[in-house]
Amino acid sequence: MSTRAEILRQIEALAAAKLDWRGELSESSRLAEDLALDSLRAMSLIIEIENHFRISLEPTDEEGVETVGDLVSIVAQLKSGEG
Amino acid sequence: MISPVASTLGELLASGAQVGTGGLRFVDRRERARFVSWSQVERRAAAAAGALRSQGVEPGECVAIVLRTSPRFFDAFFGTLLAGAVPVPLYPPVRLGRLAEYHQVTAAMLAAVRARRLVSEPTVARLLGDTVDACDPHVDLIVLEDPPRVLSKPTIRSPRSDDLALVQFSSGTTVEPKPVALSHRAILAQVRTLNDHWRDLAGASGVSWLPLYHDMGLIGCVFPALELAAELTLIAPETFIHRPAIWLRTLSRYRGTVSPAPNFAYGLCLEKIRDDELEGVDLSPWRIALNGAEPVSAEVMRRFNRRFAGWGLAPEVLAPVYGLSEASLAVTFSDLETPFTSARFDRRELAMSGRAVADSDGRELVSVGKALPGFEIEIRGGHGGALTDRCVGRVWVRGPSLMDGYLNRPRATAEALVDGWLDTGDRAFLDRGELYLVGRDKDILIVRGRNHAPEEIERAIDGVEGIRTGCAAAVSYRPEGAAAEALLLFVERRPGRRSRSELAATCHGEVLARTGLALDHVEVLSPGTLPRTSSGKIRRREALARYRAGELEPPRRFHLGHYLLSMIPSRRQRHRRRTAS
Repeated sequence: MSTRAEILRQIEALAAAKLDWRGELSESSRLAEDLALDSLRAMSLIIEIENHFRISLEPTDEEGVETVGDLVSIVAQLKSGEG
Repeated sequence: MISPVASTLGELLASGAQVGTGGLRFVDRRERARFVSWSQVERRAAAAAGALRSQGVEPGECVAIVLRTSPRFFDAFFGTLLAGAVPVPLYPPVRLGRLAEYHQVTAAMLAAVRARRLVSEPTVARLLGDTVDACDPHVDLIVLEDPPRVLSKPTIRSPRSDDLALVQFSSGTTVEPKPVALSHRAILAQVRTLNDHWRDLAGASGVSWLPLYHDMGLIGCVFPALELAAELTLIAPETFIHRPAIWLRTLSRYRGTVSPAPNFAYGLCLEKIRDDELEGVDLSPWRIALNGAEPVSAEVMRRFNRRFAGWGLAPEVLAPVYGLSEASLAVTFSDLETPFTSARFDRRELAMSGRAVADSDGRELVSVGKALPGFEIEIRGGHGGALTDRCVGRVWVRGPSLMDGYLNRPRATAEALVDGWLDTGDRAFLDRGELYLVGRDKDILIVRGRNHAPEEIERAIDGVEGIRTGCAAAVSYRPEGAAAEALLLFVERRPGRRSRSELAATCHGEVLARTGLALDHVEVLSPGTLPRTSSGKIRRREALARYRAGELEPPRRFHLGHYLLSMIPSRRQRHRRRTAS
């Protein structure tokens, strides 16, 4: 099972590879403001995360997700749920 | 008894289903397909209609539909029609946050059509709870079974061709959403015009990733395929956005002949598709790639043609078109059998004297073609008179598929529809019948084919420290050669310590957080720089024109008039002070 720090690093790598994100992400990074996620980029990130972690995110899972940390929590939860 | 010529959308479904060919193919992001024939679409819709009637849906009422591209969407859409009610497709929640804004926009659209019911699916419905809770009067959330349970088909008075068929929104916004009311007659006139125009070329296979709450997706793709009892392969918009190659692969796999998209989509393909994603792809069956819904770029189309020629794309396939949701969809089409044409015009003459004068170094404009049969275009000057060829003016349109008006908005309707002519708000000139769009008179921002009101963005920065409240202008334009419209925000700063770049970054973040729109540039200006009307209202188009000419400059220090103007609080500041006191 992945630790939060590992998930965070993997999300950072996805953002770098797919969203041309340059820099470090922390759990407190805000998705809209810090990662500059507009609707198009948000959609890309979701699908990359789903493919990479082999999970399926429903829109309802994303309710209240505002920071990278929130995203890490969801991934951790879905990963543990399947294992 | 089915009439030979459908006069309503319900009859169109019945006659399309009776033919026994064609249907909808849904392709998911792993490129697995699921086919639903038109007769299955009809059977499911009849069951859905029964379910909707049993839930209390009344003939004539507006039923909002919030569903992703799936068979469920068509259950709800055609089910609502067969129940005698009026479908109003709205866009599903955006992924990853900003739900507060989504709830507001959706609630505003529900209120604008006075919808009392909203059809959705379980996962989306849970998110919509907050939206419908905020609605007054109350909105019931309906989740149809998948597939809908077979009940007896409802017996209703069939609608007449002049009755309201569906409502589409010209822009998604909390600021005066405009529900475009279309009759069966108008929509069917548009569908027949399209099919008459492209029948020989389009064959029997369409492909679309366009959203179904958008006129180009629903009226431009679904209904024409249904009328011809043809096949239409649908890809969800989010699938295309994530992996544009799936669009071209799907076109190749199902030998798609017709597939439209806004300009940005062709740019996205250039940017994101890798050659190795197109192994074995053959685009030679593709006959018509309409390019519309936002300003068209010659450069993007040339690059698209060059890039994909190796996969069999013919140069005449890309066809610029012009239309608007108030006209159901299309108004002009460029010639489908020859490559698109463009010409260069003197920038200064276009902007200052409103004349199109050829200039080999000038601004390149693409012809969006001639008016479709049955449609007329008039270019009108400032006093309302028709202008001659090569004179820039406002585009007015007359034709068989114009809207009845904006639903429940008589004043906005009276402004847009005058003596049977539609005021498009676009600026253009005609040259031997070919339309060349130059700009817009209306303050509308176009982002990836969708319209937004500038106020949405300007309000998002209310309260940003160091920015003058109410002194902002959001504008969009397509820089020459660019694939997409650039979104700009002009703001005026207050005296203070925050640097311009700091202020710009804050504005960028606030707008993104509150509207989901990424600004391409924030220009921080000195107080009083933005041009205003005599009543203090900011003139957005004038600001943009000056900015593009490099002349958006602060008032000179000793120009008393400008100085005084900069001291006068804007209307909204005054309003705030009143409400605060």
